[in-house]
Amino acid sequence: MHIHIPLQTAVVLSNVFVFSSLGIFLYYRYEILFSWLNISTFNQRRLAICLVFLCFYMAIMSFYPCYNGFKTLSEFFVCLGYHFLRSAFFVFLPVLAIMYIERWLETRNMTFLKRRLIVVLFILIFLISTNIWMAMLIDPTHRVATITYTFLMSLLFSGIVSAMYLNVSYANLAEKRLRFERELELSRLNELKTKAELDALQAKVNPHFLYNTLNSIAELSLHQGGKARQMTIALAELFRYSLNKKNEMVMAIEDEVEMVENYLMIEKIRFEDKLEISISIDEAAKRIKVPKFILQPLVENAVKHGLKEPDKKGIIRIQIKGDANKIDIMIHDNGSPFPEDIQIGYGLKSVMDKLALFYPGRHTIYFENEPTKQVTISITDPQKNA
Amino acid sequence: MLNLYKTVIVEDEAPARRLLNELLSEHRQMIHVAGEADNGAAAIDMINRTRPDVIFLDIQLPDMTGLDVLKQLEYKPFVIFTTAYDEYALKAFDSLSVDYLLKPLKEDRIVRALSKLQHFANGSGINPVWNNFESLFNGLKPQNKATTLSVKKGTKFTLVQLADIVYFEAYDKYTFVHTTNGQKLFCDHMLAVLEEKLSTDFIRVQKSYIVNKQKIVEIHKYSNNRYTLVLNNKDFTRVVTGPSYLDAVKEAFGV
Repeated sequence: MHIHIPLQTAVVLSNVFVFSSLGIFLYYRYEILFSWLNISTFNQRRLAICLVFLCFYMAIMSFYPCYNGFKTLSEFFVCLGYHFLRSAFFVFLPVLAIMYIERWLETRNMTFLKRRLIVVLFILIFLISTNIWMAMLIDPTHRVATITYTFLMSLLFSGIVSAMYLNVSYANLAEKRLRFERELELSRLNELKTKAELDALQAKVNPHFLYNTLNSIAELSLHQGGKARQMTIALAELFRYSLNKKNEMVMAIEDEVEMVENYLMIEKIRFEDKLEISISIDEAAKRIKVPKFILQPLVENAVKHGLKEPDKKGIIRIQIKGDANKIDIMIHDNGSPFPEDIQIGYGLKSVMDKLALFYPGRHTIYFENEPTKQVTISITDPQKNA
Repeated sequence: MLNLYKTVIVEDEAPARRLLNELLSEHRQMIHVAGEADNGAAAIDMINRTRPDVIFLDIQLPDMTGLDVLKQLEYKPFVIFTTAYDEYALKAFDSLSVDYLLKPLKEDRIVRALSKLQHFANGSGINPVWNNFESLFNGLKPQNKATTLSVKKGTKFTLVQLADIVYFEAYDKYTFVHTTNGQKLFCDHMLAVLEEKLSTDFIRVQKSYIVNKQKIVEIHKYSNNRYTLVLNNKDFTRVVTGPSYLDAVKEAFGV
């Protein structure tokens, strides 16, 4: 039995096979292939995409039937040459244009989708118009397909190309994003976590504060034993809180407030009634847990600012409002307004780090001078991971 | 031959002032407390006015540091520092002053400080503080590296940690701050001002962009004198460097 494959079919099929393989090969290998060319990555990509598209056009040669009238192999190669020349013209121009557009778009900071949609739009326009041009260049006696048919075919082709483009660029982006997000988030979280844990281990009480307090106690013990005793007990409570054995990371707000009260009592004695303090806490907020040592650094800052102006009584107001859904911690002092470019010390930095660790994306810290000078910490859903 | 030294005590806490007074009263034949000040401004005024031979100066004052007080003095007495805790500067204080006293104050240290004072006052007469004060002062100033940036939101402002900032984008006279979690915040400063203020982690790469070096994931050649930087935020923002910043970019990234 003879299997008769006409020359034409065999040549067309092998043409499709050869050029599509070449295209795919180029697409995956262009970086290595062009590495000796000493041109920028952008130009490498540009060249590669042009060649890939050229292969694509060569592969679909049989869709342009005027070239398929060959009877011998040599006639086929003449047809192939013509098709190559024409395709080259119609491929290089649109591809170069699209790539320029894409590059230009990337320097504008648009959203991913908007940028891609514009590129896809241009792909459609260029591919369809070049195909129609090519079809129209074929003289009508040879033209098998109508312009409408060509239009529909090229719509299909450009659709495929656009889909490939979107797929590839999205896959690139998704992969990159995943990789970096994972690595960076992990290392960042770890860093923060270890730091917070270390912080919790250390006695948070400012050494300046400790030695100044001891100095005050030394003086008070000479003539005012009662006050010295009060201060010693408050200092002991403060250290008990910061050096507790269990090393808990979170504490109920009322414990935090009690600790701050001890701290403020000491400051009050040290500065001999130059401080006026008021504290109010919502009953619903008292049992809610927050990271340990979140309140004291803020209050310490407020005391420092409140006492900055000589001959003026420092007024500190601590207000904690809210419930299990949302907590607002407001700390007011009557010192000079927050400067425009406020720089923070170790204490406030540790508070910010802790908030970022415990309540990622669910907290804000605001400084305001009007109507009253205060710093506000808001936490939404504070019990989610406490 | 005991001289009587006139002194001023600069100390913000009343109990600490009383304690020093009390301890100095033991040496009444040598030292006379002419005045006390509880903040920097008052101290400068009082020292310039009463012209004491020696001052007891607390490093931590509510309105300024003891070093700032020294810098602003017209009249230059001997200095004995009192400090609670200042690990980084203690040695330098030693070379800057007659002596320093650590809190809680101890009698024997005061005795030592006073005998040192006597030695200095009777000696060459060169006041140790004022010799190379400027250079010491600058060396002592704690290097406050900025770690945050304040950003306005209406009448309030909030703090953004510099490590969370991906890039700054100029917008008219103002600037947008883009953070890692995709927030776009409004900042009151011009890029040129920010460029001055920010640490070396940040680099101006274009007329309207400052980027965080730590947030760059890829660098591509864009043309002969420009690079494309891909930044590590959600959108992988691309910034093309400006030709006039080429040298800075090349140096910063070693490309």
